[in-house]
Amino acid sequence: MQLNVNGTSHDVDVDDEMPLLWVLRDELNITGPKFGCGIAMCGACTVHINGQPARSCSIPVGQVSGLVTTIEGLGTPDAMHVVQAAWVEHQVAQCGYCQPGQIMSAAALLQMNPNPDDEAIDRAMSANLCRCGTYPRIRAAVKTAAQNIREKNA
Amino acid sequence: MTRLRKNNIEPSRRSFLIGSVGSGLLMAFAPSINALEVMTGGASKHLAEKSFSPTVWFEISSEGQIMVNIARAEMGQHVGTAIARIVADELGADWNNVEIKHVDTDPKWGYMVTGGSWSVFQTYVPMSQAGAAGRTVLIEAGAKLLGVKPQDCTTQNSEVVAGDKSISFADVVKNGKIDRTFSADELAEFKPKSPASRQLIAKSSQALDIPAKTNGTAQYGIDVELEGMVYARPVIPPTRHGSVVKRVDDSKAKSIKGYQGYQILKDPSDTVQGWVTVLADSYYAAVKAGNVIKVEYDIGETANVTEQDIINQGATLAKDKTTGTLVVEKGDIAKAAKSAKTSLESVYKTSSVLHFTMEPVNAAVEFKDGVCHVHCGNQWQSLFLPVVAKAVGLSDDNVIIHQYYLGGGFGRRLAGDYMIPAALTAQAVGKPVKLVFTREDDALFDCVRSPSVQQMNAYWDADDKLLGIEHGAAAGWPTLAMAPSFMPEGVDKKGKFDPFSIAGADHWYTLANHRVRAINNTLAQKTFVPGWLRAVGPGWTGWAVESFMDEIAHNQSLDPIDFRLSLLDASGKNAGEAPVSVGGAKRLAKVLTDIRQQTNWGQTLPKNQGLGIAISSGQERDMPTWGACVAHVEVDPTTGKVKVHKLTGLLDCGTVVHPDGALAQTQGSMLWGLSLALFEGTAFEKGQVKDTNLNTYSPLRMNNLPELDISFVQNTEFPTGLGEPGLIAVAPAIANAIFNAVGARVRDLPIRPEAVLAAIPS
Amino acid sequence: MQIKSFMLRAAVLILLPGFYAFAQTADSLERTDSLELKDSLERKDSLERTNSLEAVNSQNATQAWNKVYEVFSHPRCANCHVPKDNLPRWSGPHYGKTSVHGMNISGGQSRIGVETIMCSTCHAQSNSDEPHGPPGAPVWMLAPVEMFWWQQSSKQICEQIKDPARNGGRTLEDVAHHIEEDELVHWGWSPGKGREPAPYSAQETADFVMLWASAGAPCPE
Repeated sequence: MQLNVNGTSHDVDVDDEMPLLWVLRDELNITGPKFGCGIAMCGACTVHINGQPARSCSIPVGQVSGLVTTIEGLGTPDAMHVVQAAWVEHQVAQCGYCQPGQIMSAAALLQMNPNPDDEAIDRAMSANLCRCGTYPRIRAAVKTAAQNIREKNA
Repeated sequence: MTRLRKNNIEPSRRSFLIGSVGSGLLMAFAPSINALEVMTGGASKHLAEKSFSPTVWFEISSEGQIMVNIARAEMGQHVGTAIARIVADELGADWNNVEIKHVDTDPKWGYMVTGGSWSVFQTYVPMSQAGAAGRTVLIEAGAKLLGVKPQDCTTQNSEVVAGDKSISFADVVKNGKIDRTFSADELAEFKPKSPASRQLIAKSSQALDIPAKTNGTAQYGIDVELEGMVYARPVIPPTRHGSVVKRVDDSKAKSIKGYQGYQILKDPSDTVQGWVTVLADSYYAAVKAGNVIKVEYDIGETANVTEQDIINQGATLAKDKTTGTLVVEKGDIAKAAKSAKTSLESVYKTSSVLHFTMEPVNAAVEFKDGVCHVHCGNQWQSLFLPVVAKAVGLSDDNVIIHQYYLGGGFGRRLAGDYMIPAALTAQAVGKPVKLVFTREDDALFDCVRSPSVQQMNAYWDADDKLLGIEHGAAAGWPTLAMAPSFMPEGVDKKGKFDPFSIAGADHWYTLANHRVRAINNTLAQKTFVPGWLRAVGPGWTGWAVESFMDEIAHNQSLDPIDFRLSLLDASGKNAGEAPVSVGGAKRLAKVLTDIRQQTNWGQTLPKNQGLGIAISSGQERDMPTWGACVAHVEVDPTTGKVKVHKLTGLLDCGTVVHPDGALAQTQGSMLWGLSLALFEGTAFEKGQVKDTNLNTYSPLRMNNLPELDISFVQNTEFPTGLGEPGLIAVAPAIANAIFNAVGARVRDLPIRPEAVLAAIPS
Repeated sequence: MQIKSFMLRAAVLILLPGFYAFAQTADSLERTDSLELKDSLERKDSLERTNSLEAVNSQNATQAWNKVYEVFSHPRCANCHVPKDNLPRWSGPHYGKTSVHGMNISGGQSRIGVETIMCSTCHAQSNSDEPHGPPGAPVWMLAPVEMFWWQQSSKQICEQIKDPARNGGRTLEDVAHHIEEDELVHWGWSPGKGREPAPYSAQETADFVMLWASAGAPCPE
């Protein structure tokens, strides 16, 4: 089947039932999306499908139609996405393992709701687990990113 | 702990080599071989031949880039940044030119362990000296090139400067032939820069590892890809020890596309007993095969052990005052007990806790030219490298562990047990193997934090004078399970004990009579491999000590802060020692006094709300980080549910080397403490933990994030550790706040709403 | 929520082309002509079937309703027919008593989570194979808020299901038809590994509804 990831089309020959996560990581060597729980409850594997967030560990690749974006395609090391820039500004990452998923979730939230209040941030981001305790910084970084998006759009 | 650290502290008696190698300048600690050989050979020669043995070393390229090599595991503490800043500050380097690299386990890097919040503590002096030696050499060579006297030169922003003349480090490296050795004694002459002249230490900065962790390029163990590798998943046997595989039926797995069969592991190191691994050409297929493969076992003897069985044994042992190893024996507690007019007894318990690192444990292993290459993130390579060697039948020097970022350490990756099944499988199939544990596999194989039971007794005389405290703590011991040679002798010389499992009970309160017994819970030890989990012993001894201090204060109608201060007189052994614990209990009294002010202690709060206090002194008496926490909670009296509104943390860790990193570590450790206090905890059921994934295991998420107010005492004392200490006081502060809010005294961790409800006085 | 309602609607329409009548909340009740046509044709079929049923007495009607209530109040159904807190529930042998999702999930007023995190972020079009993995169906969402069943009494649900203002403007035949046809409703009887399905079957439940309706659809007192 054809799978478009970060703007590149790939021919993949796998079982339709294989979760997108393993296609990305093991077949395409796109390792930004991480394996955490395998049941969509930690959020480390979050990617975008047509701009919408998805837990790639729990969506069979056969159900993916459209463009897949991973952390690698959100921004580049030299031209970071506004959410990534806020993440660096607030020095969010500790071990960093959950952060690709956190960033993808935050980017999706801000696309739908560019001015989230604390409750909306908590609702959207509570579904992404972090064990290092970066939550205060994630919350602050989401707010900074939101403000930067609004200023850019103003 | 003392032995471990003293054996392995950074090279204090080593010479230091600085020499031109290729086009760059290399600086490294020499091996502790005889200095004469080094002198005759010349530093450059030894450096070029890599016949040095530094734990950390660094080099300056002809472009002026400074590469600091780090033999510490990076698991979120930005350790490379902290260590590199110590070197760079002394060198007078431009921080923009500094890079870090995490190295593999070549024996030349020395002993590798990252834990105990030791990294900055242990490396501060040697790295400062190394940087200062580097600066001296750069100045000598630079002065020659500038035609000035070395004593007229300084370094700043990667330049040697003399008045209005200057030359860049890059030009010094390019033009100077440098060959210089400092003896251990010469090196010891260098004192760390005075606080006022520091350029980088204690100043804000960005951590060097953060960009890669933000754009998806950071490589963790689980991301390793080896040419021609096979994916594997373990089948976890029903007991941690003693199970034997009888039969394997993989008929259902055979129809899975990509399934490549299974291996029954034979482990000469006995780390894994009764293990089968399934192999496939994709991890997805390995997971599916693992779900359907049927393994029959002769099951180990702990197959029916429950959490309650372990707790019961702990309670019996803690109650029997003849058990355990004496760790503190001051005065005569038996006499005090006999003469006491009144007494108080409380029993505190903590349940099993999972590490639940975000990255499930995994390892990729490849045998190449007789060498076993292990690829994974690990905190204590030197502990498990020999175990891997034993398992695969090679000598230690034929095993190399390649280091990657760790998707969470928290003590889980101090144990390298997960390397063993990967190595055995790779050896058996003759191909590179990447073994990844599913989340459930990871939980079942976790070296959990042992359940603990602690009995506390306090005694008063007829005048209500506190005579003393007796403390017995029973738990499974990680050090006994994984590194027994590190266990010291008890003060009564009647046995050994796990120092990590009792630290914190030897607190800084001055008591006339004080006895601490460290007791091994043998049923815990048999049932699972107890693990070191962030803060280790103080994570539960602090729970008992600080809850009990609060109970005593209330029992005597004293303010809990006043009462604590009355025992923090810094007398005798609590006076502290220069440089590390200078000031002793006085510094603890200061954080307590300051936080009282800061939190408006004694303020009137709405009904069902309360403040609670607890203090901590870090991981061990040899490396105290002085801390206090005040929790502001609200209790729902109809459900017993506890809401934490705010946690205030005040810590004195001496010089804060990397301020933002220190804040991040403390945010993390305090939130870990909150998670342990209210949200985590599992239980053994049929010999295994019952919670294996997030459907029932429920660590802290953002919706329960309280307001955090964290600050550090500003001083220039010796820097101590910060990775764990913030955790210790959180749970008891919350429990003490619950008591102040609704009068409910809870003694079990985690604090469950039902327990709070049951403890609310009617 | 500070999100604008037009954005919600726009998002719903853009994101979920298959978002049909059952899903529509009070402020977006437009149906397409084709759906109406299909509905009326199928309604005719089910009426014929009902006519073939024997006349029922009120005792039978009550029994039929009780079975419907058993289905509607079952966790596989009620966990997504939640009150205006918009919080999806979960329950099962491993979860202790029924509770909100452990990750603080809200379906929002949109009931598909568009304000914060879409239901489809985790719920794919089919059930996950993994133990405790997320269940899935082609369109995963909370029922409209007025169709609130969670912890409601038999009488309360009975009155709601008969009230066109609170049942999506449906006749009871429409309701029966909806039970027969809707893929998300059908999920209740094939909820995936480790979950107890709703009792009876979709067809039986639809038949119970018709049986009860044909006797005048009495509600318990």
